[in-house]
Amino acid sequence: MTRRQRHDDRYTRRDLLQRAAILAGTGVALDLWSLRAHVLAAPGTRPAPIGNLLIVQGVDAESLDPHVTTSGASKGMMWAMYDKLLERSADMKIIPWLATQWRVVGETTWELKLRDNVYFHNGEKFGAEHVRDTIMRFKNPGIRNVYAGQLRPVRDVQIVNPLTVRIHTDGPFALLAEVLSIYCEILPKAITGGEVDPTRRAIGTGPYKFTEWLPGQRMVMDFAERPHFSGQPRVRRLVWRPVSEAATRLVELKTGAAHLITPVDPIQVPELEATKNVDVIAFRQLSSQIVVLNSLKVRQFQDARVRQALNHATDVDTLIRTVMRGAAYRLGSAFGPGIPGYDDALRPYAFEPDRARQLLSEAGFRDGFEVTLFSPEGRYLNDRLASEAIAAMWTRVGVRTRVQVMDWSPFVQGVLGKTHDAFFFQQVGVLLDATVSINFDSERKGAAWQGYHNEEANRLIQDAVKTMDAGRRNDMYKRLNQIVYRESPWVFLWNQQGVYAKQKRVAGWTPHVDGIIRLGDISLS
Amino acid sequence: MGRFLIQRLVHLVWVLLAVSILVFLLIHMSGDPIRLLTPLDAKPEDVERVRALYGLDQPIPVQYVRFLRGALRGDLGESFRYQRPAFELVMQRLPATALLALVTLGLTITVGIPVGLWIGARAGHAVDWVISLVTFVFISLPSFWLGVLLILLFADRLRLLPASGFESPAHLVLPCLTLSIYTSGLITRIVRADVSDVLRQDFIRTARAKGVGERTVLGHHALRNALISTVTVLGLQLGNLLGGSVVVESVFAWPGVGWLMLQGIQTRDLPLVRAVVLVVGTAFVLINLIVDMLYLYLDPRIRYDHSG
Repeated sequence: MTRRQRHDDRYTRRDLLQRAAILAGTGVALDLWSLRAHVLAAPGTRPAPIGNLLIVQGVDAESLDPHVTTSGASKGMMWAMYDKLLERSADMKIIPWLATQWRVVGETTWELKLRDNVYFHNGEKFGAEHVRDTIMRFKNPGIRNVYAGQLRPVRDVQIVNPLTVRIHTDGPFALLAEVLSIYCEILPKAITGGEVDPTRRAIGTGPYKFTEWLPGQRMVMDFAERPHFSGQPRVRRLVWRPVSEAATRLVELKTGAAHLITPVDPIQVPELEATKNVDVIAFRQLSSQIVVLNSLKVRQFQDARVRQALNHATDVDTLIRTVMRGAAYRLGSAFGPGIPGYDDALRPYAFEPDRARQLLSEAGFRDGFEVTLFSPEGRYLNDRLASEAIAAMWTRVGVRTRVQVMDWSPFVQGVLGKTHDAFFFQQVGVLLDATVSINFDSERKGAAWQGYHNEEANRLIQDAVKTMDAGRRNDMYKRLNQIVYRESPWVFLWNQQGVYAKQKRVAGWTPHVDGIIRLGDISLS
Repeated sequence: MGRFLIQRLVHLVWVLLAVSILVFLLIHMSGDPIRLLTPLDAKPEDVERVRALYGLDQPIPVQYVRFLRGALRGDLGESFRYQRPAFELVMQRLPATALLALVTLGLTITVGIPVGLWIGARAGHAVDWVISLVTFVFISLPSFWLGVLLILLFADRLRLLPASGFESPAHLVLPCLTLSIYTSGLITRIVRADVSDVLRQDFIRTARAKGVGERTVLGHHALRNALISTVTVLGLQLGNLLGGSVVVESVFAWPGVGWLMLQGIQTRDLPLVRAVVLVVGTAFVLINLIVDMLYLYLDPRIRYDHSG
């Protein structure tokens, strides 16, 4: 017995160590970087849907409840079954979807005309009541919806007639159409009334209806018998599978076990391009790769000249060419094309180390200073490598930089606790309002706000949300972008390249720049 | 014997209690779960509201007591990420992991024991050197590398087997091969070492002197003695495999417990991680109990009641 116990202890410890090593080695590879596309097709005669389309993504859906899912991978799956009131075209313009027209009828009222002859997969006819009930559910504080705040200004949904609703808001709410084109998938009464649990069964108005979900294994959808207003679907069955290992995804595509895969590591692109019957589709992502400078922690960063100096000290073009192997697009200011307020007149900071030294000296830091640049590892493409290269560049102009690499969890804690001197980061978020307010508004001091302060920026952010005129609002965001460019609370790096790979027989599909799959007219030839 | 069993089951309760506290503390110490669950562009007020919905706004001891109360009623809580009962999620994934574990175990036994016995009887010969070297390589190969290599060879190059998934018996081959290359190597080495040790002992010489056939000497005397440590290691390996091979499951997109746990850990999905650890911990303790029972059969000198 004692001999046996000794054995047992020894192996158990070893076993635990072994397991810990495996877990540590695996790292945080499951990034939620996903991809998508969609084209609004003309309704009308529809060819019979054919074939099974197999889509392999890096992660599975978190839930079947569309108001709870947050990852791009989940949203792609949800949007094949559920429709929103408005949609986005591939270049992110807002387009009609379940709502055919939307207009502002007063400072605090929007009117939406709804599409007729739309049915849920359980046979319910879509109408104004569904819009009211769904919006109320989206706002319900009892639902674990982390985006509920996006519709907080909505006070009430008034049913004018079965195909017209008026949405009343507390104060002017200019971003309603933007929000409705991204959030708030419309649900049937079966779900809003509590009769069907949306985490078990999906019932939408989308071109595909829910068949089964085996978490971690596959989600299956079949074409809805009733033609969808978009002209979809062109395939009979969709099968979505999560495969976390990039090399495995690639082999699945090459061997025909997948028709569309995402994400694709840029390192795999040459191999895929050399493969017959495979297309590689690259696009410029919306998310901004940046270095955030924390002026709460490093007093030198409070001086705009120091922040500008670091922009001049960073040779972004070389980083893109070497570290990123060309799989990135240089960012001139805080945001790239596709985001409201983007201004292509803002030229990227030139790589001028001498100018950087001069600015540091003007700011009173001729002898430089020391700083730690925090970086996650494996979260963003080549994050550690890029951080190390940036640190070397900064050190060359006198800002002696040490890199500290961290696991994602403590890294995020540092971001939220605002304890990192500076950090390598990817700013996501399609809605500019949410993104700028958590970054630049010193009154809201959101998650990614790290000490930046500018009264005019605050005012622009807060006023833009209430400016109903889209043109004027865009100008305000443009002005904000100019201020942020000049004062550079970040070092602006790049928009990463998103890559999909598909079999050549997959036709009629375009990726969206927000990286969420919209199937559009996708078909199999 | 009865007393021994009861002791072991009481032991199980303590182990699970300790493990649950440890998981609780580790998850909380390694970062705020809610901030990893919610996207960074969520508004702070939404984050706080959702924190309260998950009960994560309560002090940690209160959260733990709540969990214990639920656990006593058989409720291990709802996964933060999947919004489904955590226990249900684990049980859904367990069959895939169990299948992989049992087939791997079967392969390991059918390959490892005969080969170990064979080379154990030929210790020092060329064949022993060669096979020992091969098994040494087998146990040294990292499984993520081996898994990808097998995919590239059998799925990509030869097009003989599917690369990933859980659809048909063919999907089982590569993950099982990846896992059993390590375990077979390990068992071969253990059986070989024990058999070659036993064969040098006096009672074997006596048996041979009595004219007992070589087959009986090996099969009955040598193997039976070698099986004590083999069964110990097999039991531990089975426990390991039931815990889910995180690496193999994620390389082959095998929808098992290990992959589920990895996702749980990455998103600090406390109820999910806790449920996986408790279910796997229970399996581990029960397997050890079975192994202890097997000793009684393998070595009649072992008596548990006297040793207390």
